[in-house]
Order: sequence, then structure tokens, then C-alpha cells
Amino acid sequence: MWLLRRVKAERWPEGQGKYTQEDVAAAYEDLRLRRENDETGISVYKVADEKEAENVALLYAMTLRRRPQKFDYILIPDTAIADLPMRKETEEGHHPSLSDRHYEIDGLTDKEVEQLTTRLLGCEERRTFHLDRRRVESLALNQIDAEPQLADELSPEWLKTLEPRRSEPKSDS
Amino acid sequence: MALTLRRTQFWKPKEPFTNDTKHTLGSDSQELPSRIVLPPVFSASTGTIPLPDLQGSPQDEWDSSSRRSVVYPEKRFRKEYLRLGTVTGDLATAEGRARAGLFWTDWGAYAAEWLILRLRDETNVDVVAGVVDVLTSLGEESVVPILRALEKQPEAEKAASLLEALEWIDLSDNLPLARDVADKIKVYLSDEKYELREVAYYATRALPPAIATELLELSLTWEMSDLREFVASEIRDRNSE
Repeated sequence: MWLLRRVKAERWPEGQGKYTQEDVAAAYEDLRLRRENDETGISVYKVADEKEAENVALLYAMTLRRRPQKFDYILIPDTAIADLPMRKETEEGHHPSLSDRHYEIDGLTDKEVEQLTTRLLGCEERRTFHLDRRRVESLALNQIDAEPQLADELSPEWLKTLEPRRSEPKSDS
Repeated sequence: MALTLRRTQFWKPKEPFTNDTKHTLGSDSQELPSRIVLPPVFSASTGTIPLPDLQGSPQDEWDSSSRRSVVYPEKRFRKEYLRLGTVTGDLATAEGRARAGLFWTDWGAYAAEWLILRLRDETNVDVVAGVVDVLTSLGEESVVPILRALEKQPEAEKAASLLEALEWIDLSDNLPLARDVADKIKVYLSDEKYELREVAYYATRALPPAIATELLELSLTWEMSDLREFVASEIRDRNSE
């Protein structure tokens, strides 16, 4: 399955069945390519399951977001985008767990992106996830325990948040 | 409420005017000389800056009083704006992103005003996060622009972004400004929207512990959601500082 992270969860409600044009327009804002920024592909991460997806989301939040904050993403089944052009896009400087899993849905026109939006909104197997900030921070504490060297990659804002909490009881998950 | 901003070095762009076309704020087309002496827009006698009013659309960015005195490289602003939220290429590393952020810090409160205007129409979650990061970097420089924007009661999503930025600005050494910020945070602490109350609780971290504790304890009289436990833990943290 694929993780699509540049989303707002409320734009991707689950199980509604029918969608209005307004719903599509709102969700399209998440997929819209920033042509003005020479963006050519929609960034996705290849993940095996929900657990791995959560870890990818967490690593993104910890290493590529400067501040601890909520994190939304959706999971898309392989079949939903199997017919689309996919390009592996590793990024030097990113955490290996991110870089190794990173792809781009490449070369879509704006019209095709809009069609993809409709397709994903209507995809029954698509799942929407929202990690609230306290959950992100809690997972981050566990991650630091498992991967202490990650602390070297954290911003001062992240360190300021996590350091006082390291003495707290850890989350089970 | 009179908002003032203490400033000792308001104007110090590192690469002030190169070959960029410069714009007077509010003008999209005016060609200006390659080097311009900028009149100060703050009163040295009072140490305060009368910031431009945030009226109208992003196209008519600043009010007429500031157009006469503030000149900025619009093209460069727009170019740097496009890079916000990007984490590829030279922005793939934290160091690269920090370097890019220096552009905005050189423009201080003006950068904050400009970015907050853009935020109003921004829908891309990465760019919004990038704008908040810059506002955070600007520290006290961005506080008055944020308060002025909140004064206009923006939609919840935008207000949340502005409150997010406040959290990371340390106001413990600026009591007057901290009190202004506390007044504004207080409004959002009792908002009916959970998300807004949540970011407002976090924003109290910018305040001196005594002021933060007062606000948080007050909010316990109405907060009945699962945020109540979080508020209680914040009070414990403030009291231990």
C-alpha cells in the first residue's frame, strides 16, 4: 500500500460513499501540484502495513518538520493507483526509511490529478489517519529509545519538547 | 489595545538590493532604483514601530502610510515563498532549510506581515507549516503582526496556524507584550472548537509561567474534554519552572 502524507484528514473522510464537487475541490487542494514550484509528481511512500505507515509518518514528522505537530496521512491500496506512472525518487539527506520508500506519481496533468482525487475519495479501502500532537510526541519518545542517534537530526524545538518528557512512562505502542 | 514592538535593529537585510526589481509595498509594478535609502518606520524616541494595517487582499498588501516608507524585493519574496515547505534539493537537510530561512529573518516584522497575508489564501499543508516555522524563527518580530491578524478574527484554520507560531516565541522577558498575547490567547481558550483550544493551550507556553498558569487554571472551569488532563499537566509544568 501507499502512504500519501501531504493531506488534511478532514478533507478525506472515510465511508461517506458519495462526494460533492465541494468535497472533491477540497481534497484536490492536497493533491494539486505546485507547478509554480516545478513540482511534477505526487509524493507517496511504499509501506507494508499500517504499523510501518505510522513509523514513516513519525519519521517524517521528526526529521522533516521543524516543530512537533499533528500529522495526517492517508493509506491507499496498491490497486487504486496501479495504472499510474510511478517513479522512485530517493532523496539524499532524508532518513533512509523515508528515502528508500519514496516514489512519485509522475507526469499527471491537472485534469488527471483531479480524476485521481475523485478516485481516491471514492476508494472504499482508502484509510485516513490523524496523529494528534501528543500521540506524535509519545511515539517520538519511543522512537528515540529505539534509535538514539535520531536525536542528532532533531531540531531545537523537537529536543526542547522531548527532553523533559524522557523521564515519563513510555507509551505501549 | 496599543500594540507596540520593541526593536533595536529593525532594518538590516544582509543583501539589501542586488539586481532584483524592488517594489514599494502595495505596488506590483513600480520599478525602483537599484539602491534605496530607507527611511526608518519606527520612532527612535519611543522605540516602537507603527506597523502597517492589514487591510484588503494580498494584492493591496499594505496601507498607504507604509507604502511611502517600506520598500521590499517582491520578486525575491515570492521566490522564497515558493520554497517554503519544500524538503528536497538544497532544502533536503535541516542546515539547508535553516540557511533559506535567513532570508526571512533579515526582513523581520515586514516578513511576518507579508507571510501572514499569504497564509490567508494558502491551502497547501506543507507551505502553511513552512510559514509557521518562519514566524517562529522571527521571534518577537512576528508577535505584533500575529496579534493584529488574530484581531481580525480569521477562520479557525488560519487562527490555529498563528497560535501555533506563538507557542515557540519566548516572551518571558517582555511582560507588556506577553500580556497582550495572553489577552488574545484567552479568547481562543474558550473557543467551541477543540482544535483551537488545543493550540491555544500550547500557545500559553510562550508566556511567563505565572501568566500561563492563571490562564490555564481559568480554563479548567470550562474545559471538560480530554484536553482537561493536558491542561492540568501544563499547569504542573509551569508551576515547576
